[in-house]
Amino acid sequence: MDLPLKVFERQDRCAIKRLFDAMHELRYGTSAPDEPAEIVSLRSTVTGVMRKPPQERVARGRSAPDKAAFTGRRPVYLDGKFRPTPTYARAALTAGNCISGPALIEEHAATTVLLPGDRLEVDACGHLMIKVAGGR
Amino acid sequence: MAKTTRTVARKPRAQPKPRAARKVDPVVTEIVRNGVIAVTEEMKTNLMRTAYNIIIYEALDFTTGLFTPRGETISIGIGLPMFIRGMAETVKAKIKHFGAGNIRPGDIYVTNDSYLTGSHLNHVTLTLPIFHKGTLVAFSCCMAHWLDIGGILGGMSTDIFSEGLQIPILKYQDRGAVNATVVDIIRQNVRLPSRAMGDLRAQVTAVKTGERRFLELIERYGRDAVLNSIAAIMDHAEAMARARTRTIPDGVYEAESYMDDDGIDIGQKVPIRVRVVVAGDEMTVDLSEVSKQVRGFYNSGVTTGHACAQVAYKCLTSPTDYPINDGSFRSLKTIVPPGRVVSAVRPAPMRWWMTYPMTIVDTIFKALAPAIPGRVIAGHHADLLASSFHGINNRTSEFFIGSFGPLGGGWGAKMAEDGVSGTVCINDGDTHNSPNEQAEFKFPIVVERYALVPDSGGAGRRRGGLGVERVVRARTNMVVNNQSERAHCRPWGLNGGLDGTGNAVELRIGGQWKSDFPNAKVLVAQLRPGDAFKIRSGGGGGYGNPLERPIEQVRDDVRQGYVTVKSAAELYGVVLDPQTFEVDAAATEKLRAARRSGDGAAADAKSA
Repeated sequence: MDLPLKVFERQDRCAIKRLFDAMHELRYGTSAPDEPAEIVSLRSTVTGVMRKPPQERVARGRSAPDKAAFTGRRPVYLDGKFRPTPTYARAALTAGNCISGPALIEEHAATTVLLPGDRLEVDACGHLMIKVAGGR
Repeated sequence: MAKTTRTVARKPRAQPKPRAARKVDPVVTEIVRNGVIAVTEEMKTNLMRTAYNIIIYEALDFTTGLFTPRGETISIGIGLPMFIRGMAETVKAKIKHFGAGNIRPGDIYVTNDSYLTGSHLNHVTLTLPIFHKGTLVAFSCCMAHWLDIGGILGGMSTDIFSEGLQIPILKYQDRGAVNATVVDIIRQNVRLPSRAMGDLRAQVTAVKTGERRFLELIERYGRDAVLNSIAAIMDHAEAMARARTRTIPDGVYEAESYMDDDGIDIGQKVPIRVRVVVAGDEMTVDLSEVSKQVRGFYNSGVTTGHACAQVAYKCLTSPTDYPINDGSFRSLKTIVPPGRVVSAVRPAPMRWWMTYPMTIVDTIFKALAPAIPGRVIAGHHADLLASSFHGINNRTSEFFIGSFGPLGGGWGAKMAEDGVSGTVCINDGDTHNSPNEQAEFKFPIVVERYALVPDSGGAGRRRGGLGVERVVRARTNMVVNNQSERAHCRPWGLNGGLDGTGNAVELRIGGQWKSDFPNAKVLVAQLRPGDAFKIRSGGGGGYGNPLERPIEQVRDDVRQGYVTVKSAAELYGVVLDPQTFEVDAAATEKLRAARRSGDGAAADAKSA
């Protein structure tokens, strides 16, 4: 039930009960105006401008990823055959790193596949910005 | 009005009409099928949201439904499976009472006549005729269990007059005007009247919800489309039930069981004999040989006798065919002569109506076990174990009547699966138990223990489900009543499976446990603060020879605490290390071989 601010400010408990009875009647077809009611939950909504939360940023690096980020090579089935493909640990990538496909970017719960011709750059927040081969 | 009645709710046999003549869009029919289910479900929801008593809003002791203008069930929202017949027959009785011409928009009818509803006086039933542009198109109906309806408080009743206020069929509301006289009479005759009035209003909410939503369905898809769809749904339900009945081998099947006693003649067994005849696509359930009505309050009315057969039939033929409607029962005949425990006549006491019928349902399954061993279930605990307690709350100085609702217990095993544990009995299959914390909050009690009972499930290739034990300590002076059955007639096993344990009750008075009751009934027991009562539900019967239960499953049962190391050896022939639960394969093989070759321990246990 919506509680108009005016009723709240007046601390008009009878008006609150009347509003409740009317809403009960509308929703359930019955009401109990002679019975007392208990307020068991009160929700309020406040509107305003919040301060923006801080953005997590990753360390700045060079164009070539650190050696620590390179974790090896794995055979990946691409264009009809298995090709040894470099793998990188996402957690070790830093802002500004660039990687050309094919490559695999691995992390705990996901693997990002970079196809041949795709080009990846890590932005300031650690996002993987990928320019897909053939994309505009 | 009469014309509509014929179109909507004719009996197909009485007035056969070629199927093709009824124009039904299959898509609309499916929308209406789900639509009427949604209507009765929303009736349930609104009843729960507005009711004042825990037995309605937590335990869900109620049933809602939509009915044709002739009183046939279109859809039922349960609640109580065993009320599957009582509500439709109550609607029919109301139609007959007032006459079709006196049923008007804005009316709401009320009754709690036990011999109509088939149950007890607590089941107040409200019915609202639904009109569309002046034409009667359906009834919405709501039964709900009132916490109190007057009469004696606990103890044993021996006639209907001691069980409370009897409300004949009356208009609670006549063309929109509430009958204040009826309300005043009710208020004067029940304990906790303001709570009763809250529940009454909640029931009005339920039937009005049914009216509003059913009319919305008609507005949206058209009256003829909706009503013809309902007729088609009922015909379809009939066809499904007949097709499944045809898969049961023709024959005459009989079984017998018994109730412990009627609560007055202690130890005097009450025989339950059923006879089932299957012929082609029709089944007949004959309850003529069920015991005559008894002196104690375990009787129910004839509609419940029919419901016993219908609940069993629905389980066996079309358990998942929704909505639950009367089409499913056209291929079932039931023979229930008057004056039996499930067709009692006035003024038989009916307060604990719900107990015996469950055992009749189980006995029908037992009768059919040789015919359809893969589709039946071994015996279950078959009792509510719904002890109640009342007194004056020492904190608020207010009178209270407390209950947890049904305790739940073990269910029988089936050919292909173990029985379920701690689950509410079949009469009240869709009701819930109440959380301990909520009961402790509402009533001056403490729950000391609430646990599954090891070894309660009947041993078998498939094990019966486990019973439950609850110990409740009083925090004030209170009176406890527990009316349970089946302490002696334990849930039976099937095809070599062993019986589960029976139901039981114990009391702790002044620190001393007393457990030597002749049955599972304790009436008007006085508890003082610190005293306690324990109720323990039985386990379900097992299915198949326990020596054939896979050894790993027995080991898992022991690890889970469902079966003790001792029983694993004695009943299943599986030898385990009591510390590590590792199986001694050699000893197990030897023990099982010895058991099979006839030292007969399992067979002895079964006949015990």
